[in-house]
Amino acid sequence: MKGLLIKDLKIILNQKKLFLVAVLFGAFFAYTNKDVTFAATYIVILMSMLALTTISYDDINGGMLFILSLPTTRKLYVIEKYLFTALNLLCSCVASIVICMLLGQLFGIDVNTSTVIASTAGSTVGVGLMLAVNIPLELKFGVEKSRTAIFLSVAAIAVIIVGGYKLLTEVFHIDLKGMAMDVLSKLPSSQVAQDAIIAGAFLLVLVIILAISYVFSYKIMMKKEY
Amino acid sequence: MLLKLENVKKDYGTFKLDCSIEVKRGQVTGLVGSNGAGKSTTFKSILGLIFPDSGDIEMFGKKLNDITPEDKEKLGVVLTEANTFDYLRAKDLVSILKAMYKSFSETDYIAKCHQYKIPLDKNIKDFSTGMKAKLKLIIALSHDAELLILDEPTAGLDVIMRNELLDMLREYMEDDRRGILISSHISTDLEGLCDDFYMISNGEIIIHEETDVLLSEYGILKLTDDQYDTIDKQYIIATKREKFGYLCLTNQKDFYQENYPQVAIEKGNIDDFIIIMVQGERK
Repeated sequence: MKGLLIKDLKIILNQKKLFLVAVLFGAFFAYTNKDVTFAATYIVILMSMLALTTISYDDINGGMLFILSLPTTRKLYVIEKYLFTALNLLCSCVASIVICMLLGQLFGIDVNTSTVIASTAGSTVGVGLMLAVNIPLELKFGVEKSRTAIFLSVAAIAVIIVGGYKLLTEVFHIDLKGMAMDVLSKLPSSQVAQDAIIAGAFLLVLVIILAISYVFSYKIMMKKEY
Repeated sequence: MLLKLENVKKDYGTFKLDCSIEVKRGQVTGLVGSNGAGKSTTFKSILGLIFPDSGDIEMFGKKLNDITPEDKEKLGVVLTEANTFDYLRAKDLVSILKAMYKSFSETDYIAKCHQYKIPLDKNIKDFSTGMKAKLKLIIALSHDAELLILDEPTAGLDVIMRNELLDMLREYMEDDRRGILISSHISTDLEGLCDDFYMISNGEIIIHEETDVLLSEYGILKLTDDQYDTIDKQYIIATKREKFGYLCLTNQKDFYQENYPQVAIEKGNIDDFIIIMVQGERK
C-alpha cells in the first residue's frame, strides 16, 4: 500500500501548479474583499478534489491492469484510495487555515479564527461528501461515464436533503431549526470549546460519510472485471 | 509447477474460453494464436483481472484466491494493453517499486534503463512504443521474479527491438528456478525462445506440444485432389482446402516422407500450422 500512496503523492505533486493557482486566486479574493473566508473554501475544495484525479490517472491507458498486477489487492487499492483521500482532506484543511492566517497578516485583514475554522471545516465536509459520492462512481463507471452518474447522484442527494427537510418540517411538523438552536444553546460558552465541538461534529459526519462510501467502493472493486 | 490452469472457463456469450495450461520451472511456455483467439482473456484470468466462471488456477502452488501481495512479488507482468504510470517519469517509479518489492534492485533498474536508452527524466506518456515496451519489461525483470507473464511484449516493435527484448528474456532464463508464459501473434519470435507451445483458437487450446517436437515432427503436406483421396490420413490433424488441392498438417512428418516420397512435404513454421489449424478443418 505504501507504493500506491507514493504513486498518488507523486501524481498530486505533478499538479503543484494548480495548488499555486488556488493560493493566488485565494489571495486575490482575500485582498479585494478584505475577507479570507472565500479563500479558505476555495483552497480546500481545489486541493481536496486532487485526490479524485488520482483515480482518473490510474485508469489512463489500462493503468488499472498494471496496478492490479503489482503486489497489491483490490481491497488494498480501495483502502489506499480512502486513506489518501482522508489524508489529503486533512492536509487541505490545515493548509487552508494556515494560508488564510498568513493572507490575513499579509494584507492586514482582521481574521476571525473561528470563522476560518468553521468555513474550512464546512467546506471539508462538503467536498468530502462530493468525494464520497464520486469515488465509487468513478470506480464503477470510469472517468467518462461517471460524469452523468455523478450529476444524477448529486441531484438525487439534493432532492433527498431538500425533500427530507420539507417532509420533516411541513408534513411531520418537526421544528428542525428550533432543535438545532436548542443544541447550539447547550454548547459551552467558551468560543474555543464551541469551535472544537463544531469541528469534531463535522469530522464525525465526514468519517461516517467516507465509511459508507468505502463499503460501496469495496463492493464495486471486488466485482469489477478489467 | 509455477502456474497451472485447469479447465478455466469464461463465457462472454459470443466468445467462450476453455483452457488448461501449465508452466514449469526452467521452462518458457508460449501461447500463440490469432487476434481474438483468447490469449489476453487467459492472461487476465491468471492475473485475477477477470473472474472465470469455473476451473482452477494455481500459481506458486497456491489457489489464485489465496495469493497474497507477498506472492505477487515473485511475479513479473507485461500486458500489451496496460501501460505503466504514463503520467510519471521512469525515475519516479524507483521509489514506488522499492516500496512494492522487497527484492527490487534500483541499481539494476537504472542500469537497464541506461543500457536500453530509456530516458529517466521524461514523462512515460511521451515515450515511443518501443521505449514503453522495454520499460515494461525492465520493470517486470527488476525484482527477481520467479514467473513472468508476458502478453504480447513484442507487439508493435521492429525486428531489432524485438531481438533486444528476446535477449533480455534469454538472460532472465539463465536461472532455472524461473519460468515464463509468453504470448505473441508473431510466433516466429518465440520459436527460438520457448520450450513448449500452446496454440489457442476460439478460446480453446488446439495443440500443446514441445517446440522440438513441433519443429521436427510436424510438417505440411501439399496434396493434389487425387493424392488426398488415396493418402493414409491417420496422422493428419488438420486440412485446408486450396486451389491446387489440400494443405494438410501432420504430426508425423517422417511417416509420410517414408511412405509417400512423391508427396511435397514442407517443414513449415508455427504460423503456418496456426493458419491450417484455424482456417482448415480439424480432425
